[in-house]
Amino acid sequence: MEVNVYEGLPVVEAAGEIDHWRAPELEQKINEVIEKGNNKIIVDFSNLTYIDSGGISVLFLQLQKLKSLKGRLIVITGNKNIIKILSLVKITQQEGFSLCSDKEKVKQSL
Amino acid sequence: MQANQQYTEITLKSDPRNLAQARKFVEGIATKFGFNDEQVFDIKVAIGEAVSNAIEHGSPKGPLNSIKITADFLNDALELNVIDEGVFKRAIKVDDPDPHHRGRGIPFMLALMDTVTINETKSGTTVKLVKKLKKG
Repeated sequence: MEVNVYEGLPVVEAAGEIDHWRAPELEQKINEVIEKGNNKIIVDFSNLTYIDSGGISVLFLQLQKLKSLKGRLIVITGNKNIIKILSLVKITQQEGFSLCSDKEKVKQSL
Repeated sequence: MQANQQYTEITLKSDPRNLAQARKFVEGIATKFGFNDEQVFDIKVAIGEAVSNAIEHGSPKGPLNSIKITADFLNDALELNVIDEGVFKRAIKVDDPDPHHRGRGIPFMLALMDTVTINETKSGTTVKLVKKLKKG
């Protein structure tokens, strides 16, 4: 997983599949970005094809941290299966969480 | 388990590194029987959750334990069994916002499959997952 910058915000790029085995890597990458003083973070799932409850738990955990810092967690994905999972757990309705279909939409939402 | 032409099984070591192999196994079978991409995704998440639970809670000896996955196609439905050697984990609601809860596995299975049956015995737990093939 790489960390890049878009419109001044850190972007954690997570491609492929995130399961219980890879979820700790996602948690660590977001932790590193938060520890550098960021409270608005983009997680780019544009090239993610699978996520399970391990990955979802990481998103809930990091969203809680960012909310306590008055920040925001922005997830990018246009994958209908990933969106279905995010909607199922209702993280999309949580304060401080944004779902964008692509990077251009992130720009509009800032 | 009564064997028939459609029956397949795989046995994996209880190790989270094998989750991808479990998903690949069911993806191949579900695709072969005509499930569409969205249904295959649902089946992969459900099997991933069942195997994750088996690794975390159904493996008292860790990677020394094994997890068996069986697959059968009967009456236009895919029937999967995940068989471990331990005790299953209590479920929490799928939309529970508490990030410390890691027990969303069973609610995911219930949301994505048609039938989920959990059978606990002294020798282990079997999770049966059934997905009907909806044509058209």
